[in-house]
Amino acid sequence: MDKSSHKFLSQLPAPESPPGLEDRIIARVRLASLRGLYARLAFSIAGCTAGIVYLAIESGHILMAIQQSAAFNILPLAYTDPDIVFGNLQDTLLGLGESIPFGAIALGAGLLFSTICAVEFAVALFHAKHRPATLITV
Amino acid sequence: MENLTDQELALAARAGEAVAFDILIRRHAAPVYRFVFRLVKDGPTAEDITQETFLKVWKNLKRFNPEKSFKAWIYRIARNTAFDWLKKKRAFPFTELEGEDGETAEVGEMADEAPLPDELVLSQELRVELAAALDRLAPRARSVVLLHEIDDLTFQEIADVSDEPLNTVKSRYRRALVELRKIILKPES
Repeated sequence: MDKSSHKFLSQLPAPESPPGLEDRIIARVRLASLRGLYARLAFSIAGCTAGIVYLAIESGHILMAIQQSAAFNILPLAYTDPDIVFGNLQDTLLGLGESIPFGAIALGAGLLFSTICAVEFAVALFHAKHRPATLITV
Repeated sequence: MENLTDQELALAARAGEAVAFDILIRRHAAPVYRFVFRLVKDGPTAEDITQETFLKVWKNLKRFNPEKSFKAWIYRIARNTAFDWLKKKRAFPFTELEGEDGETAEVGEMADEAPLPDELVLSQELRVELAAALDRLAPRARSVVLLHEIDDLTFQEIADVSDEPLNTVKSRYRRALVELRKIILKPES
């Protein structure tokens, strides 16, 4: 029962594939790809916008939290007086942990991330949209 | 790029090279369509399933194992998509010739297991009969015969396509030939 024993069905008339089938498949895949990119871009822009709106509304509180935070006073000490910082490492780390404005940092990181994503997806979308529908001709 | 193998193209497509996927589509769309058409026996449905197959391939490119045959992988997706459609439509007694687990009676229990003689395909009339007999096979059996006879897949590749042991595929193929022979010899039954 090896592969070359009898290929009797290979002589059957083959159903013709409809003309333009490949182009329609390429178009459908391309459409799905564009939809995916649009969805990701929309999510990134939404995240970015939400971050900016929150920043605008809560800017006073966020600024105050940053100004009141002792973390920004502790960190430069690592350069100026490393002996004090590394000599009392446990206390320094505890102080940092207590005083770091996590909310502001998280907001900044989220904003930065969604902005990078938005730019990346916008560029990918631009390239995808400007790619010819059919590049290959056989 | 057109000289690359399927595996190389799939890896390029996975890396974001859209042209590579276009080439894969142009290389495999027509054979996949013909395979699906012979399973579902309806042109527009076959085209829908073919498009769906390539969409699934594109979405799952990251899951493709480059050490395995791309052709087998794509046929596996096409076969499963076609079977899903057949199950939904319930147009065919899906378990005909097959038990719940896809197994059938032992080959030895069947009356005459001689393969179809090559001379069967010599006349046009017999070609038509053979095509009709093929349509009467259960989808699983038909897909094994089509993949081996028309799409030139090895039994190992078919085993990968159908996710079954090699020996099961071989015996299913042999049973399908026996059944084809029976149908052709007794067309009224």
